[in-house]
Amino acid sequence: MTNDLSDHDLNQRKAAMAALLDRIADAQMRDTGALDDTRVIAATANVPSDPPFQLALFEYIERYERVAPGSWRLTEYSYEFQQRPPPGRRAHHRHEPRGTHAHCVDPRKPDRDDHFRDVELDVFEAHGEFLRLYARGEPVDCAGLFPLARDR
Amino acid sequence: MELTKALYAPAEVAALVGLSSDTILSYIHAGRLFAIKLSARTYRIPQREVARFMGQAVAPSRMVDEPHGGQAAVEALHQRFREEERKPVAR
Repeated sequence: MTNDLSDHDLNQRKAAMAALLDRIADAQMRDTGALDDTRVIAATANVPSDPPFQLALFEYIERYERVAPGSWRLTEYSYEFQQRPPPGRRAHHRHEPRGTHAHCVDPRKPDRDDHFRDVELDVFEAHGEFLRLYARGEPVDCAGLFPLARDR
Repeated sequence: MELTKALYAPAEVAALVGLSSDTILSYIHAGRLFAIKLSARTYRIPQREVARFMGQAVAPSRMVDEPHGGQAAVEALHQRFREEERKPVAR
């Protein structure tokens, strides 16, 4: 999805991710490893919610590998939305061994946290989806998602 | 004024600041006021944005730069992924 990013591009992306969350809460942005060959960008915000929830967690983590001096490639991501109190959850992940997949926990079926089929998403797309879930104020609903074959 | 709700409808913001709902909607459409769009005519405005709009102070977001430690951060991330893989799958 994301092409290789220069240092400047990645810094701009980091600022944009922070700005997404700064609209809704005092967010924390952490950039670890800018001088290493592997780098992790993490943006987190605990956002107040109206009843029946107390908080919502928005957490966006991206891992980058240096592919050339000043050039970074997105290799893994974890975009999370969680309702508090738990267990409501919606997430988009890309990491081994499953590659791109989603998570969804419906509070009415709290013992299920399966891996679902997903398409590759950008953090800005995931954020739009999570914002709507947050603003609706309803329990996460996993209807329409397809479990990965290994979870069937 | 203490803001007690997490999310506000445009009409609620209008009442708080003494403007009309149409004016608040025009601000949203113009990008002057951030709102979450739920449908063609339904918006919700986060408390933090309402506070900003009313001129109240809001806590700044924090930026932490750690030039080294990338591998440790990846390990921490992978530990979470491994724990997720170990969760039993409900049938």
